[in-house]
Amino acid sequence: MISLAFVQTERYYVTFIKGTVLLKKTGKPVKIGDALLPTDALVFKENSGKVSCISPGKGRFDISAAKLSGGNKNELLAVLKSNLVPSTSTYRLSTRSLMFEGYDPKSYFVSSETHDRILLLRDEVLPIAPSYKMDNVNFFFIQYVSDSKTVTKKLAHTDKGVIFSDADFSGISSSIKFCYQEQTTSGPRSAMLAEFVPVLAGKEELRQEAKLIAAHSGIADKKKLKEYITGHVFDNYGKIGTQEIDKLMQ
Amino acid sequence: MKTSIKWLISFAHAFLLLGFTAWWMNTGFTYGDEQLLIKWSSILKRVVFQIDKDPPKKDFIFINLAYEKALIPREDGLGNEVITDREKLGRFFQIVKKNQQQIKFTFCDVFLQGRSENDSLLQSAVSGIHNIVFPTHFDSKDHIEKLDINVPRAIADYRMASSGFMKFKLFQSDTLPTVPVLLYEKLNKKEFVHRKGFYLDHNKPVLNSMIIDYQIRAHELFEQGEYPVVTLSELLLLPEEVVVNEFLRGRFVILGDFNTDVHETVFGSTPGTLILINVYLSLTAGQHLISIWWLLFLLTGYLIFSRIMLFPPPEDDEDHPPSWFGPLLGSATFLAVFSIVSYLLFNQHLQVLIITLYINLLRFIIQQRNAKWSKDDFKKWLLELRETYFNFK
Repeated sequence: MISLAFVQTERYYVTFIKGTVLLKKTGKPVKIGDALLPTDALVFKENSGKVSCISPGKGRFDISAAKLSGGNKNELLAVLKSNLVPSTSTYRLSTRSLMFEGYDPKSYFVSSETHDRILLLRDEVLPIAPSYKMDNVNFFFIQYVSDSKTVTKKLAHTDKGVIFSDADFSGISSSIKFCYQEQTTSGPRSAMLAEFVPVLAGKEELRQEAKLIAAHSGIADKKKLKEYITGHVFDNYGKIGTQEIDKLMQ
Repeated sequence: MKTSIKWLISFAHAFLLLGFTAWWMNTGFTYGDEQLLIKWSSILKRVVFQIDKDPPKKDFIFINLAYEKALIPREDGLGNEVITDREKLGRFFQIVKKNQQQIKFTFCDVFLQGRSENDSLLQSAVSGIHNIVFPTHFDSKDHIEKLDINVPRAIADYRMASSGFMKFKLFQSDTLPTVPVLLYEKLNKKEFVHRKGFYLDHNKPVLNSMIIDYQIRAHELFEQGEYPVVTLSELLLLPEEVVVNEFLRGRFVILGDFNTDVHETVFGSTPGTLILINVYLSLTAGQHLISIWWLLFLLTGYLIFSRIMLFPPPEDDEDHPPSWFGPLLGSATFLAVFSIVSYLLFNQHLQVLIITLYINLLRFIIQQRNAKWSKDDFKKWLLELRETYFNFK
């Protein structure tokens, strides 16, 4: 059981419910269209429970039980006891996860600012839009020329996105072609989606760098700090998505 | 040459540079380094000087149509194509129509081409709404595209630089205004006048091509949650009085696909709808107006620049080619600072770095007259310039 308290002075209209979610003060299940007040607390019966709501001033929020609890009873009790779930940050994370499902490679791997240098986090999943199916017969691959020979390598993937590792890029001296192969009714079909210069770096070393920059920048505002670090990464490595910048700043 | 003559020539040359700047800014071209300069000017203003005033949050509501899709049969062959669900749009605009007096304006960034079975519903819902606009575009022959539903419309095209959106041309057609111009005229009760090749806003000359300031940036919308973003389906789940009283009343309603209709800008990927709204906000902020103070600032800057660059001190060693790297770096720095100051003081980005090339060539010619140069020296100078400044190999 998980409890969540709203701490903002807005009305939140429920638009989607997954699982059993009760309004703590009445003990009754929450229904679509219910207006929740900032002081209301929700009780999620299942860890997979989720509530989406919209507010006139804040927009759309997605409250997921799994993200709040972490599946640990002690943490759950702490939330219950303190009743101080930072609703704004929870909302932001949830909103982002709902709105953002993955990048479209056609637009992601293009950057005039960095002359098409794209920063790839080593061995990390780069989320790809769900419109690109990924399984055994639908996958991404890269193509490049090394020692006058054309090399083609299939990229590892999960159901969320692609993974780049050092082995994929050995012997590359310039740009690569990022391609997608899909299974169609008339057989497999490949298409080149983008061409860019890959810059591979480890998440941990970049995170340390971001931490160092943050410590010496003198910028307290998170939004402005993010812009500052983004500029640094773009200049020194290459383009990277905003979601990935968030990972580096965590 | 007398000093006064030098200043007089510099003054005349300043006008030449002013004319060149006006022409260059009015074109769709952007030089790569200028784009970088514009981006960093904005970061300097917002991050270092913390001048970042957002428009009031209560004035806007963004309705995302990314998940409101429907299939219609293809007109040119077998199969279906995806369009925005017109049944849902129709239901929403029925609410808007009944309550249009309470809504500031509605911009529905949906290109209404292709026919669906719900067109009549949408047509009847939109007919009679006065404060609404839809986008249309130019086709490949520069004719304005016809929409399949009769709605108020305006042009939403922009010229793409090699790398993405940079400048927006306010006036693109004699028959239809652009979306930001229409919004500005309707919401601010103003009207642009076209006279002798110039556009005037209340007798003040305006820039036709604008490098806009992003008052609302994409990450403020989708990550910071600074402005309300909802989806249409969710809104339609709620009772009409809640939708009107709490979500629409007194607001600028903006509908668009914020997930897939995205374009590269100096601030990263930005939905096309948001770009158009930012152009409108730039107009509201008066960024399109050419002020006399800005002109004087430009003229003074160019006067000093011309005086320094056109009348360099003689080279110490006349047997060697004149130095070029110092003046090149110096002029680029001067113009970069000039552009940043223009943005900080007058909110006007300048595209001036291209002038570096012209002025250095001119300076070279002047200096060459006093130096003993061969053709080989000249060729070497050009090659070095190409490899360093242009980064061509």
